Amino acid sequence: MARLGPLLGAIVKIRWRTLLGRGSAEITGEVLLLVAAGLVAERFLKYLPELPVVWVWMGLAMFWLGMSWGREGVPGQFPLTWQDRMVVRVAELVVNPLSWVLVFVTGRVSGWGLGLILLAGVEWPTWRRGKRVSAGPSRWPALLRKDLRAAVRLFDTALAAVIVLMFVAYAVREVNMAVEAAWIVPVVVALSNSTIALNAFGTDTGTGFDRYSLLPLTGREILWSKTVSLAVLVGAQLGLVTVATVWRLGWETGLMVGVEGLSLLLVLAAWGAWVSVWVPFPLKPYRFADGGSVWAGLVAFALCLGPGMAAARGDWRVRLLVMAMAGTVCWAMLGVAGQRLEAGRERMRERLP
Amino acid sequence: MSIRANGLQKKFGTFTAVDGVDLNVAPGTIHGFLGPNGSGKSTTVKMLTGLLEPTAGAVEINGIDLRADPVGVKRTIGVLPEDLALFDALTLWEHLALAGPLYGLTRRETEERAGQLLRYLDLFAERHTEAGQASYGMRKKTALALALLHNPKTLFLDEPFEGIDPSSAENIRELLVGMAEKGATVFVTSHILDVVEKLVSSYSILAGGKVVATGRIGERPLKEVYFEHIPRPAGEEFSWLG
Repeated sequence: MARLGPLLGAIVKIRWRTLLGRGSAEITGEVLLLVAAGLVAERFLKYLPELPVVWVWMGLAMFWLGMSWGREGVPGQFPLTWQDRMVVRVAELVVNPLSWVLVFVTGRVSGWGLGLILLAGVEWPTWRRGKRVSAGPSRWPALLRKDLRAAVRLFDTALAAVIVLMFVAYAVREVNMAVEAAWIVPVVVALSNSTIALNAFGTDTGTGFDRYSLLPLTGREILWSKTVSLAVLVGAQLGLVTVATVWRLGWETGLMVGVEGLSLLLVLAAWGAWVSVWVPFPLKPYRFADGGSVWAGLVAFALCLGPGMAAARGDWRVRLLVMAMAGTVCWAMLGVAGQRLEAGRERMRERLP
Repeated sequence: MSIRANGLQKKFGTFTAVDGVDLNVAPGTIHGFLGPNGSGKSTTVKMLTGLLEPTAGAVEINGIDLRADPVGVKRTIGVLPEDLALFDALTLWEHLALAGPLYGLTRRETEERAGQLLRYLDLFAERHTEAGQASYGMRKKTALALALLHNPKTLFLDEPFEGIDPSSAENIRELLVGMAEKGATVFVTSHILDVVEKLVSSYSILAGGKVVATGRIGERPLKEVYFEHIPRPAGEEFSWLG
């Protein structure tokens, strides 16, 4: 144990530097997202007392993610036994302030069991699921396939998938589905994916970004490929939510949820392009990173609430107007951000690990 | 000229990494760009290939102004960058399949060329390995194949032989010589003087961000010129080692 002292000391130092430096914004952003997830979970818990299988599945997923963490967190060449690595793993959780905030907030909102389950998933960096992950037919453009493959390995995507599955399970079990749930879920699903939108080059890391720079592509073309990937990823999730809503609440409400989802997607793509290219904060490739900027995450939160509220309270015309506005802004933003990307490649490259 | 740089300078804050580098490399030349660690070689290559914006100076590649038409320059060059610039989530084959159409190759042309290159670099059997799971050598060969796939007029290779097995290194050397004979220009950085001396026809030596010597192979032994300008660190007595 004594020989692990320097290593544990280094972990504490890293944690504190993250907390005291710019990284504290990331932690705040992470907590914000977790609070949103916790609040939604609390709503579903009221409706899903007989579906413990969802929580068991979630816990197993967290455990699975956790199994890979130690090997990545500590260099493999360090002469550590598996017991040593377990000690380091636990120490990482204990010295992480986010762990304590997460347990407290989620525990108070949704129950201590859920808090502890989520805790198990806090510190796992990139989710690596083995050598090959198919991300659709091989005829899909490689850039799209690359982004999707990277995205399905992120914890954010897993969380969004869990929320969608919970909603579908809720729709299956509950004949009298609450219409509010259908309005809220697309917002939370979009928020969960916002980390991918706001951090468009996070999973590429610096080397991938360099390849973008070497290929004969304009900034707009690069951002379009990112937006299409995001649309496929989020569209699949929101599509399921829409289908479940149509089934239980009828075509009109279901289509409105679809319109809300599309508006959210466009808002995310536009704001994501802006933040990914402009915001002078370090980008991180791991999950629950909001682009390194809490205000970027907060604005995304506010922007996503806009279409959500319009969908919940407005009539057809308002909803379609919101969607049209979001589409126009997204189209314009991709052009502007694309030009900015070309002019600021070097600055962006410096931000990527 | 295939590569023309005038007064190229790069500053990072107050630190000047590259200071007034001039380069003129003619078509069909294999040009060695040499220097110790931290001398500014990779920074220069990054500026020549559009990865870094020069603080001052101008770059013209294959007759195209890099600042005015960066995408136009990129269509005519192949680059093996220092960090290899691969996407971890794509397989080695998928990298080549991605790049071919972007350079105007048909799918059939891309697959034929990619297969040929990977077989030549002894990488075909591992082509479905994701770059993030591949060894350094495999990644490097993939990045090299990417640089060659579209038959560029000018090649920039940053340390092409580092981490490459001897048989592949020999294949690469033959490939580069063949390309130069057909008129392509190859710009190579390397630390390995013996390899460079057998490969290049002209060279520049960089120290402290400045070109301190230029010459042609055969005029004087390369090592002699190199150590004349780059003195070796003083010897130390390592009685505790071994």
